[in-house]
Amino acid sequence: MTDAPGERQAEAWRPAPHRDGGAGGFFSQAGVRFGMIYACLFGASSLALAAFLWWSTAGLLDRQNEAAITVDTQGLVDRLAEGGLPALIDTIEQRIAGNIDDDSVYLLVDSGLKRLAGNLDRWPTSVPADFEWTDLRIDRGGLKALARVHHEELAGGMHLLVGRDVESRVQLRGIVADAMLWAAVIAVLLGTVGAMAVRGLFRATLADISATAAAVSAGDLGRRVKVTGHSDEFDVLAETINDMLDRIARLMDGVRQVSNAIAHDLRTPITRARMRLEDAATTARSEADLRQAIERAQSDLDGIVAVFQALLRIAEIEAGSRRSAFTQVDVAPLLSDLAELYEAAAEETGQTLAARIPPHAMVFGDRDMIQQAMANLLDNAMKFSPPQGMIRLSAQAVAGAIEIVVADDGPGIPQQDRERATERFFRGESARSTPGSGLGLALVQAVAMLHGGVLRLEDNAPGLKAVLHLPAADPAAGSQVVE
Amino acid sequence: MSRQCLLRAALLAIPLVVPAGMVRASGERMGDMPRVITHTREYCEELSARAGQLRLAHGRGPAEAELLAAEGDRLCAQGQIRPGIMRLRRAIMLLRAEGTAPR
Ligand SMILES: Nc1ncnc2c1ncn2[C@@H]1O[C@H](COP(=O)(O)OP(=O)(O)O)[C@@H](O)[C@H]1O
Ligand SMILES: [Mg+2]
Repeated sequence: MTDAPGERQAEAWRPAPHRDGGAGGFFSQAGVRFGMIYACLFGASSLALAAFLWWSTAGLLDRQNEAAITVDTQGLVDRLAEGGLPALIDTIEQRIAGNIDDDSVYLLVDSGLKRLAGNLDRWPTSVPADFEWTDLRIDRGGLKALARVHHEELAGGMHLLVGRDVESRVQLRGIVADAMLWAAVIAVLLGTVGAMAVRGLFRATLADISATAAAVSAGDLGRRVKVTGHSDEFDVLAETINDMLDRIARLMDGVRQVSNAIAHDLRTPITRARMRLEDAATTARSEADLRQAIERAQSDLDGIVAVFQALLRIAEIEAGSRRSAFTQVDVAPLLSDLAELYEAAAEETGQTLAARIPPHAMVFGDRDMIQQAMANLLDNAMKFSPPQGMIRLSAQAVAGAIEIVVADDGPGIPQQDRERATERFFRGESARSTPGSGLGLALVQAVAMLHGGVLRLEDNAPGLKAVLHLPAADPAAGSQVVE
Repeated sequence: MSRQCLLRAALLAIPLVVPAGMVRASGERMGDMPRVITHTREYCEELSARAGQLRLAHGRGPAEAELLAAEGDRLCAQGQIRPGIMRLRRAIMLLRAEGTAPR
């Protein structure tokens, strides 16, 4: 019957053996993997659906069949009760004679399993003795058939089998199997197409990112990922990567600039010290001359050491490791002390220092750092403003912060230099004749950043107005850390 | 390359599907099974006799019943047992319906 083609199909469809081992490359791609997962899920759910359909349709047929068989059996049992064994045998024979579809099974045997009536030649040997329902394979006119059979024990030890062929169920199984096969083929096709599509999408969206990363690692720090403008996850990723690359570029620039500056700015004093010593070695006529030369070289080298110390200090501040030691600091007494100190120094040069400091000014930070920063600003003001110049130091509370202002009436910093004045080693054109190494404002800037504040350089017309803006409370408390 | 993969995937999927269609393919051999005994010339004759009895009891049935019975006899005689039996059974059902139908 329908089983035969099934066997032939199984022969023909045996899977081909794997020949090339190159499949790993294709299947290891993420896009393909996602596609395959999709195909597997699709296939599994269609198989589950087919199985459910199979069980519900076949189950319905079974129930209908069993109901018919039960009614049939009950009729025969009633016949036996009414008319005895001859009536039962007659009824069975009538039913067989009227069975146009040729799909019924009847068998009546005595207590010794000897056939009394029915259309089966003998009691089946393959079934257990006391079953109630079973599927029975029978030989119907030379063809195999499957019958659903009910067993009833009758009075006097007789046994009655009543059944129906269930070939329709077998056919249904063939249909469902076909449907499942097609579903599987379609699932595989859709999965493969989906895998291709997903792989293409993946490639397209990730290609630029990986190309950019490759270019950057090959040394092209200027490359950036293209932002498509869809503002999707890939755009967010692209923007994050670009921000990261920008920051790396800035840091690299800083490092390059600083190392260039160190090399450039320290060469002069080191060369000078060397020449002094060389000069003294060849021309010094007395020990006093020699001693003087050595002392000057020593002070040159001290200056170099001081520059290194300042650089290290800025680096330390920028590293931010001391932020954990921050406390609530009242900067008012600190500013008063500084004012007193610088007033005395100003008097010597004929300059004036006017201080306007409130009784209290609370800042969240590090006392020593703030003191160092203020000293740097006051140093600059005194250094760059003329004799008889006026220097003002003031502090006031603004919304959530303290602003400390150092203003002078010197030459000030030209607009185009203000941006760069806080870079390490920057020295203005007018500062060439003054001592210094260009690290003062860099340190102030680093201190301001560490405190979550800013250093503003403004025009005092004439002169410079340096404003150090420091938050009054912990900027990290309740919100994120300010870098 | 992709076509090969597609083919391979399709082939790999088949063993999952085919066994469903051949679950019941195996089983005992024909000789071990109970045999339906109503596919013989003797049973043809038995049915023919039954039709005759019904005709005696209820009188001649509809023309169609007569036709079917005659055709069944002829097919059985020619050795086409199954079609013959089917026509005889139809004839019997028609004659029975005649016998039980209200006049
Ligand atoms: N008060 C000021 N008036 C004018 N120029 C200033 C003032 N403060 C800073 N500058 C300019 O900014 C540059 C950097 O200052 P700074 O970092 O303190 O270095 P240094 O004091 O060693 O020169 C100075 O060289 C100078 O040109
Ligand atoms: Mg300075």
